[in-house]
Order: sequence, then structure tokens, then C-alpha cells
Amino acid sequence: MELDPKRYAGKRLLRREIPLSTNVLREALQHQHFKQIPTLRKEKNSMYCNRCNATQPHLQNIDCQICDRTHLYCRNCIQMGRVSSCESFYEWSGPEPDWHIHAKPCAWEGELTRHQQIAADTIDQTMKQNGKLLVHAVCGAGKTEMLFQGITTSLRQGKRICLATPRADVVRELLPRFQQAFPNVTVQALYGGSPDKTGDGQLILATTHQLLRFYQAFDVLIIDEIDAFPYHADPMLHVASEKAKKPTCASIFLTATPRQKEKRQIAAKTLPHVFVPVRFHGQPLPVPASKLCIGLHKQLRKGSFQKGLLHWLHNRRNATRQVLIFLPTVVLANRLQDEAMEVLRPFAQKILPKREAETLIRTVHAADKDREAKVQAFRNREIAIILTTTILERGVTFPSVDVAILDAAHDVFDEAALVQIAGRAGRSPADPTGEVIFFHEGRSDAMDKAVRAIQDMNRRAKRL
Amino acid sequence: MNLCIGCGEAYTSRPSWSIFFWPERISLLCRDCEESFHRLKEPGCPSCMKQTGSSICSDCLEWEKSSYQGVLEKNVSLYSYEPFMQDYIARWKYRGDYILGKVFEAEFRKLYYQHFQDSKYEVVSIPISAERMVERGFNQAGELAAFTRAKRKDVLGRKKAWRKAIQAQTIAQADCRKSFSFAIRAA
Repeated sequence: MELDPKRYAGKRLLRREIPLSTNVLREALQHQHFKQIPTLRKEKNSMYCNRCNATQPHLQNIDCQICDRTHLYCRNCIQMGRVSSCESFYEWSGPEPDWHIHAKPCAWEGELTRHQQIAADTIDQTMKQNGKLLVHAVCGAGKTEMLFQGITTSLRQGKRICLATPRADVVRELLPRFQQAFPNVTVQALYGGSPDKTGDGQLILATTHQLLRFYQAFDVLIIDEIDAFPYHADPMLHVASEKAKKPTCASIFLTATPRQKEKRQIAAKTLPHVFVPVRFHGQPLPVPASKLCIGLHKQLRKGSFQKGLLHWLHNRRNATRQVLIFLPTVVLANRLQDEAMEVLRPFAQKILPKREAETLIRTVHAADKDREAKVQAFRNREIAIILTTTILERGVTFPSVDVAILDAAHDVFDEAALVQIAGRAGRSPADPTGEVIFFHEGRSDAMDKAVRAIQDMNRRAKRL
Repeated sequence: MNLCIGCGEAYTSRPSWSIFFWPERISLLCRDCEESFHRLKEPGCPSCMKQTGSSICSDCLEWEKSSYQGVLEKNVSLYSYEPFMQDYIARWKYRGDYILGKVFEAEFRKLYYQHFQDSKYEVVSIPISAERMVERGFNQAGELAAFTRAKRKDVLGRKKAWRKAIQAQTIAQADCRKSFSFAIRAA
């Protein structure tokens, strides 16, 4: 039987991830189309998982009844399927797949601004030279479009490309845009529960977790939002992305809010970078205002809104803009829900006068089943005010919103989160300004740093 | 400092003399996770332990009228089957995260001897299908049976054709049973 190299190349799979019968697989092994690799390895007296590189205490014993022995299994990457030491990985060692060489893959006909073009050229160069590049572009700079030129060149050379990001929401949002831009290329989206699971496309959009399945697969690896949770804090995902690259591979990192580590690398000039300080519509980023509210914590505990927020809602410059209200915790969001329905209703009706009042105000958080539907409804202007936790801080675009953060000094709002949240406002060229306000009871360092970072980016944009 | 096997966070267990003498008694869970397990405290229905009053519950009365009359002698449950527990059990069973089951060991044995101390009882575990076994490498019911350290008798097998019927039945049952239960019957 002929096996499709595209389906298996560049992956390390467990037996249950290979949909072949025992006989077919045995034959493939005899023909050396697959080779078997142990799932765990021993190095300096400790064991390591060959998929995620975890060691004790993530490796634990199981009394396995398949092989009737007690042996180790890996708990660290168990959500991608359990790796136990009595199994093996199967790695493709048959003929290399022929990825299609596209003559003219890109159907996107938009135009880039001058700054976008500079970044796009640098990205293109880096991809050609299999180098490394950090693209630091402000929220709403049009990062995705800057990638198209480089991806086009790579597809012309028959390369395989992956765009990975920590968040499944972002993958879902990117898929239609890439399918439109590259209509003749097999574009696939992979995330937990995605309809497509095969991963045999030439252009893969995936969550960073999905990279665990790949091994030396890509000629170009782009990681979007490198500073986002969980990628920035999870060593497993860094291992996964390193292993998914071919030995010679271009790496592009995208971020709007680089963390300390990247800032240090930029300063030490060990990581080439390109900076795009202007949004694609050329307007400056909205600078957050701060409002001190005495008794804010107490009132939030009681489940009522501060007068300051109502006052701000009343006096906004444009009373028809939708409003995003960020809250630090899910508990608080649920507690404020009822009060919001009553107190915020007049404002909501002013924003969308034609709609039914009952559905105008909604709460969203990570465990919410209707989250996608609610976000879509907000985008369609069916919801006026949304109370949200930090899950909407990045990756989602709403054309015309004002943003308020309640208790902005809370620990969950670090500098990156605040800059990202502020970046939700004023994204559309039709309404390029927006108001951002921090309500707090005592400023935090993160708030000051976020405001300074935004002002700094605006200053650098003006100088250009 | 240990890592909690429930949530993966680092935690320090409370110092006590019992840990000094029996280091194996150190909890595998952090306090937050431990407190999310809710022990069933009420005696409940004498037949199935459902937590509604202390008389025979309406479910059991229904059962006694059906063809299953006299089948169930007694059901004993340890924890309430709430979302946290559901998620925990799902990770143990379906993801095959073997060590998660170890948390139940001590309490489960205690409960068993509280109710079935008599030596006339033998433990029979519900088997899983061969395919499941290949996937999972262990049988969660067999694990629980092993925790009791009592005399075991593996007399049950799994019929293939029954799978679908049983699946439909268990889904229906799962809807009405709100407690995490494991039936132990007199041999």
C-alpha cells in the first residue's frame, strides 16, 4: 500500500495516532518507511520525555496492564495523549514529501503602508536566509498582512510553513483570512477539538500545543503573540516549537508587547528585530486615562458599580461606541452581572437604541460555553456592553469600542495585558480614536509602565 | 515542596508528626484541590446513600418495583459527584492519568471496612473492554478494588454486543445519579 508522505512526514506519532492496521504498519516498518523511537530517554541518571522534554516530577509510575510492568509515563504533555515508556514513537523515514511549488499563491491585493512594507521586506529577507527575527508591532499595526509577502516567497520555493499562536481564538480568526489570501494552498487549522486533525497541509495554523506532535517539519515557523499566556511561561511549548523546526528553518516572532527577556535580547543585539510603531491607519494609540476611586474594592466586593464608571459612561465623547469592561476575576464578573443589567441599561440603550434591552449586556469568561457566540454577537453590534475577564485582551478586533478596566491595579493586569487591552480601542480607520480608562484604588507599577510604553510608542511613531 | 497532582501548582504540606513517622501519608493534593472534594456526610438513603433524608429514596422504591427487584443490597459512596470531581475522574479515566487515582486509596479502604468488614464479602470489579484496556493500560474499577486489599474475585466479563445497550443505559443513569458511586455487592 502506498502511504502519503505528506500525512506522516515531520511528525513523531504514537501508535494510536496512526490510522493504519497492524499489518500495514508492520510492512511500512519493514520497508523502513517508519522508524521506531523510544518515548522516554535516560540522560545523566534521569529520565526525559522524548516529546516534551519533561523530567521528574512530571514522570510518574503506572502499573501497566498492557505490558504487566510498572513503568513511567509523562504527565506534562498528557493532554496531547499519554506517552508511556512501553510504547514507541513512529517517525516517518520514507521518501520526503514534495510540497507544491506555487507560481502565484497570493490573492491578497491590499496595499501596505510604508512602515508595514519595511517590516514585510525584512520578514521576507529573513525567511529567504533562514534567519531569526522579532517583529515588534503595536496593536492594530496589521501584523498578519505584513507576513503575506514572505509567505508568498516561501511558497514559491515549495517550503512548508507554520503559524503558531498560544490562543485557539486567534487560530480560528486567522483561518478564513489565510484561506482567502492563499486560495490554492492547503491551509489547515489545528487546535484542541478542531475539525481538521490530520495536519498534512503545506500551510499550518496551529496553537503552540499542537506543535508537540511535529518533529522537524517546517522550513518557516512563525509564532504570533509570543508574550501571551501560556506560551511565555511554559517551557514545554518552547521545546515544542524548537522541535517542530527543520534543522535549517526561519523563525519569525510577532508581538505587540515584548517581555523583559526579548527586550534584553534586543538591547544586546542578539535578536534581530524590526519595529512598527504606527497602526495601519496612521493614528496614534489611545493613551489610557486613570481615575482614582476611593472605596472601589469595597464596592466591588459588595457587587455594585462605582460612581466614577457611571460618570465616565455618561460623559464619553461618543456615546454610541460599544463598551468593553475588563474585570480581574470570573467571580467578580458573575457578581456584577445582575447589577450591570440594572445600572448600565440606560447607557446600553443609548449605544444600540433599536435592540431589546435584555440581551444588551453580557458577561464572558474563559470557561463560558457561549463565548464564541457572544464575541460574534458583540462584533455584529447585537451586544452593547460586555463584561469580560482578560480572555478578550488580545487577538480579537472590534471596530469601534471604548475600554474601561475596573481595579486596574490587580495582579492579573500586568504591563503586557494593560497595553493589549488599551490596544482594543480605536482599531478601525473609520473611527481611529477610542477612550481607555483605568479605574483603580492606588496605582500599580504595571499601570505606570503600560502608560509610559504607549506614550513611548506614540512618540517614536511621530519621529518617523 | 511538592507539585499538586490535581492542579500542578507547587505547595507545602502542613508540618505534623504523622508526616514525620509516615512520610507516605503526605497528601498528593494541595489544600485547594483537597477542599474541592466534598465528602458525603449524611447517612442518606439506607439503600443507595442518595443524600435526601434518611428514608428509602424514591429512586430505590422505583428500582424495587422493576425487574431489578432485590438486586442491590447496598451502595456506598465517598464523594459528591460535582463538576470538579467529574473533571478529575475524567482526567483519571479518559486521559489515563494513572496517579490521580491514588488520592482515593486510603479513604476508600477505610470506607470499605466501615461497611463491609464481614469476611463473607468478596470484591468484584467491573471490567473494561479490551480496546479500552489497550488505550488506558489500567481499569479504574480494578484500581479501586485493589485499594481495599480485600479478597477479590474477577468473575465479570464484557460482552461485545452489549456495549451499545450499556452505553445508552449508563448515560441515562449518569443523569439521575448525582453521586460518585461504586457498587460493592455481597458475593
